[in-house]
Amino acid sequence: MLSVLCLACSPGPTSDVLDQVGNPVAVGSPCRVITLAPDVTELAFAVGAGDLVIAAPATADHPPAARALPHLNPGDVEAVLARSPDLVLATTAGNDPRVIDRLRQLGIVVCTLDVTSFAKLTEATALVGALTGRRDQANVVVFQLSERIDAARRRATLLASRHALYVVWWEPFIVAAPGTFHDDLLRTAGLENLAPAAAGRYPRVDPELLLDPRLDVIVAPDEPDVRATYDAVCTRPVAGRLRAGTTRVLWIPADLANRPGPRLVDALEALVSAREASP
Amino acid sequence: MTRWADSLLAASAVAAIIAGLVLAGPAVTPGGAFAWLTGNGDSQVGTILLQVRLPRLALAFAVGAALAMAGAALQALLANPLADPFLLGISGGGAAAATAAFALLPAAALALVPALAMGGAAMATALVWWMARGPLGPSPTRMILAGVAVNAAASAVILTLLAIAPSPRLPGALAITMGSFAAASLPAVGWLLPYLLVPAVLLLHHGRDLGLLAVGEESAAALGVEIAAVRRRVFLAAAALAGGAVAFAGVIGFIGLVTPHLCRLVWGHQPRRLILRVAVAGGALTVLGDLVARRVLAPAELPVGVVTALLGVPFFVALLRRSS
Amino acid sequence: MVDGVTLDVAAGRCLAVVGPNGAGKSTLLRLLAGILPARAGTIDLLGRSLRTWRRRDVARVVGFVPQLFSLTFPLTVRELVDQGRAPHLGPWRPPAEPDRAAVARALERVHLVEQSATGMQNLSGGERQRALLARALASEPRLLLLDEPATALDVRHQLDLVAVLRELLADGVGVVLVVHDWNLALRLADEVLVLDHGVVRASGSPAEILRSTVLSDVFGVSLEVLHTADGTPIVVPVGRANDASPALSLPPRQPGC
Repeated sequence: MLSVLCLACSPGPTSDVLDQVGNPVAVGSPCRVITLAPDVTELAFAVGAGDLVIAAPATADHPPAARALPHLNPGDVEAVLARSPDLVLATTAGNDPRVIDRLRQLGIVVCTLDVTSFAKLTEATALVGALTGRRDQANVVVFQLSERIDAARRRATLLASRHALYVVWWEPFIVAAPGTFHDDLLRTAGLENLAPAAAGRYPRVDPELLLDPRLDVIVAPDEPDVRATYDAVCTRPVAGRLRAGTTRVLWIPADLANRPGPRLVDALEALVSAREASP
Repeated sequence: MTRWADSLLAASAVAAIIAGLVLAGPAVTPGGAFAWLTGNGDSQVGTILLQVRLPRLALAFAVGAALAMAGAALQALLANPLADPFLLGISGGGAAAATAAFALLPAAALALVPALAMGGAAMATALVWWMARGPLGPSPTRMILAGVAVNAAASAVILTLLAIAPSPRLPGALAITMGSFAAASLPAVGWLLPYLLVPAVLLLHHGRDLGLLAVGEESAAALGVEIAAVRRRVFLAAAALAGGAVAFAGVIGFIGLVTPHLCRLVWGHQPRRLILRVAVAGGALTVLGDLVARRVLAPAELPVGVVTALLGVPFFVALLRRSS
Repeated sequence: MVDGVTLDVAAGRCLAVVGPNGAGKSTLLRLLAGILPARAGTIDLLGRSLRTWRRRDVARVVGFVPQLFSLTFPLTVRELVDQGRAPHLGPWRPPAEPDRAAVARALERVHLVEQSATGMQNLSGGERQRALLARALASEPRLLLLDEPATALDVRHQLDLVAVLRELLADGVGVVLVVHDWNLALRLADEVLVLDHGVVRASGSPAEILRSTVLSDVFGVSLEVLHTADGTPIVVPVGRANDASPALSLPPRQPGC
């Protein structure tokens, strides 16, 4: 138990693990961690490594302690270097891979997460725990998250399966395709994704898809911009089923649904609850 | 020969429109459309055909016609077979304004994008006009140079905006630079029509003058052409056509460049003979392009500009072979 | 820059404008055609100041044959000559029978009927000149302005040109000719204008011009006047003018310029 906690920054045993994009990451005992996205910041805090984080982007607003952290621009290699981190946590959901490559070339230890499903979320949690010396806390978090995910999944099986889309943006009409964490959100909540599979992760699709008779449910992130474009689209003939209520729109708080971090499970629970409220 | 060619053109345009109406997606099948037409289908089909697909087709046709006419007019005015509606920076200005609106405005104001795009196009027009002015109206060489400058500036603005835009806005901003008819509606077509019809009439009016200008300024003047006035009006007509197209559909390339060349193969070079035919051909090509864009990766949509760019490849290859 | 030029062309009369390069001959011609605006002075066409005429009305009455033209898009001879009818057609009226007849007559005059379907890019220099002349004639002008019309023509076609112009003059068309070739000027013109640096150095009948020393002064050459068997004068430059050339005598001027 004690060996897991790191009180001094002694260079520990350097074995390598692979991060979620397949790059080897040296395992040590970091005490200066930089996070490059809100979701990885939440992960770091969730496993109890928040005290190791020395800087985070301005968009990292959860948990509240994260807001007090010094801000840095996730695309600025120099800013990262200047702080001499011994571990940088990045994500494929929003960080520029070239910046990450540059940092690795310069000798910085970078772990890139690629959370495209709940399974990869728990894997990412364990990984962050291992890299920050918080293995045990991480295991606890993984256990709790898995419990909640399974519970939600069970609740969803009690509901009729429906076809759905996750709408990222209404105009142009952009949805989440299979293989994204949004897709896993839908599937775990008992919804079948109607988005095309072979056109990229977030393809632009024909607005006539809104008229598809199979489409029962649309899940959308609740934020002002998305709401505003939704209102605009509702005035068009193509949104007939939306206006009539034949296709229901379930609004999930955007910072839960759009971040592949621990609170994605909150989004899942909210989604299942919304489905239960209006079968 | 001309009559035969004209009939073929009209028939192709009608065929393209029908294809666009019934082949665009699973919501309406050719069988279902026919059934509705003969009174046996369900009204849902009618709604989709008339309220969803027809506006989109109308917009695509109108934009294609506008771009093709602008291209033909500019190729004659600038005596340059590679002139296209975007050469003069007009669409650059429109796209830059639209991108700025997308990247910076609150979402509720996004309905203003077409108006702002027209404003941007107008500003670019004024800038090119001012830079290219001369005693005989805007001079062709100076127009091209000014257009290049304005396009460069517009590209810089657009790239900067794309870099600083908040990420949810990026897809919309990119859609402008690649062209899309997905946001078509009857009111939008209504707004576009004046920017299509008024310039068309103006170009027809000066069609003969353009043909005379192509054989030399002095000859044209000696034959009664008011050169400065003709140049100004044709330039403004092309600007209105290109600006309108960009404002409502984004940047769609190659239609304005390739359609006049295709039509010249059949109807010759006289601008007067080309203007209307080029409009119909451009409309038909754009409708077909939109159909392909919607079906290739259905239900995902390719940007229309990508499909029309593919038009450019065989075109330029053919040009290369002709000139060797 | 052309300054202080006074001239007068009446129906059926032929005025030739000669002068060294840069004398302003082409400028003068373009002023008369209304292509260049006159900054000072007046140009009267058919008794009314040119300024009060609309461009298209001028074009109906004045035909202009340029020395060169640019070919951006391929054009057949007939299409080029058709353009000559533009002043008579509005923007909307298509060509009608009278227009087609005028074009046919113009093509016949310059002997290009057989080549009417040929592309302009496939013609020789001389044929192109004739096509340009036909275009000017198609609008049935009352005044014809020609800029170096004989430059690209071979001898036979030069003679044809002279014949065509003589026919036109006989029909009452006025002709203003800018030429390098003095002999052409002398053969055709009723009046000759000698321009130098934008100023008129002499004007008068060919005989008067030849009697004076103005040609040798302006061009800086010494001349000799010879005569053909039928008495037509031919001016031949014989060398740089180091000294003034003596006055030349001529037989009486032949009638029917």
